[in-house]
Amino acid sequence: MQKDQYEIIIGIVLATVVFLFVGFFLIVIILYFNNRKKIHLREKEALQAAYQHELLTTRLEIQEETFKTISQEIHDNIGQALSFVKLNINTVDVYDPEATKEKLLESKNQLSQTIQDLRDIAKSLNPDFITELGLTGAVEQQLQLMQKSGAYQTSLSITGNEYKNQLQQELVIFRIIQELLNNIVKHAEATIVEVVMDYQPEKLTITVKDNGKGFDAFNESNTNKGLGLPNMLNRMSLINGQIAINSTPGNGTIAIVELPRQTVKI
Amino acid sequence: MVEKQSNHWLYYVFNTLESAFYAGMFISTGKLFFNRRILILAITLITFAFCNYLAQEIFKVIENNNYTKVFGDISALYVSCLFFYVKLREDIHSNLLKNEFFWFAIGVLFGSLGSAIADIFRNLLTNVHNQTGVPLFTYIMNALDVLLYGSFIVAFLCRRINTK
Repeated sequence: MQKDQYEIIIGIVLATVVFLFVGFFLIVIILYFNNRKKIHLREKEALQAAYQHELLTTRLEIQEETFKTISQEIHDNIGQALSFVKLNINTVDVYDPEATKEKLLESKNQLSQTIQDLRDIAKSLNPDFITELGLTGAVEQQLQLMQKSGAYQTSLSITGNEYKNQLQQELVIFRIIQELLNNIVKHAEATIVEVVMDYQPEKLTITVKDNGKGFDAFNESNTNKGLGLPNMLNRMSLINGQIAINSTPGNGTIAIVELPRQTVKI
Repeated sequence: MVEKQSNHWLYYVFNTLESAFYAGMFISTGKLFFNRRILILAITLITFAFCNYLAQEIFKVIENNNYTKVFGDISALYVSCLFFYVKLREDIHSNLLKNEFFWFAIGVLFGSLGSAIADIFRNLLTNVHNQTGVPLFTYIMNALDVLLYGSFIVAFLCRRINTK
């Protein structure tokens, strides 16, 4: 009987100790997860800061690129057109009404074209032009500027039902397309530029294709040198997208940008 | 021969006060969904305690028991675990070791965990006490009180530091 009592006592004491140990274990687990949460929150904050930084850089780059284009546009088109009008007016001969009429008409047409060009420039100076025009509109405008230079034949085709992504994502995508088009102007020696925007229900795929001299895409030094590919890859990963560039010497370049729809908001 | 009078009502009153104190403390952490659960649990516990008391003391249909105490312990255990869960789910990080409610919940967790076990085996422990003279139940409860009030002391200190 005495032995049974001791066994019971030991059993109860052991059960109590085990349960208390479970309690301690629970507390340790909670503290461990709390610490994990702290690390996770820090990482999230760092990622958010990197995202915001990239976004700011993207905005600045877009602005810089726009200023460059505008400066070129003013110098090449508007300046030339106004000079032409000035020259026309200077050479007006009041004693030759027929020639004067023709010159004034020509000047009037030139001025109308210049006003239209100025309107286009004013549109692209608006900081929210992507919001206003939408991604397709902004890309179209970019292609029109290339086309206007006379060196390129551009085309834009849109397939699927167009939808809007988050503004930040559209901004990054637009900057990447701008960079790809810039690369074509700087390095490709192309004459035809095609952009296809395919709005699928689950993702947006944008293909930028040119008929330029191409390059060896498998040679890492080519892709890292001056094309800004690492930067593009980094930016696409921040918005959960992907970019792939396919090119061989002499066969032009195809860049494919993919952005899943309803990506996680950072 | 002195007739022994039941003092269970006193025990019920103090238990209710203790539970009300715990519930009040947890509610003051300000978690809304959490409060609703505590209130539902408190109402259920009070109803159960009242019915148990009536059945034991007034109608004498069941023997004296400590079901209410065990139920209260398990409820406190559940609420403290719920508190830990809510704390871990929060979007912001805080150092739990400096959080007064965390220490309070630890005290309640250990107090209720140990006392639930002791209450479940109470009859056995009483038998052991009667036969061997070892007041095991008292020892366990004393050890638990040290943990419970030790945690409360740390909680009050944390509160004082945090509100300075």
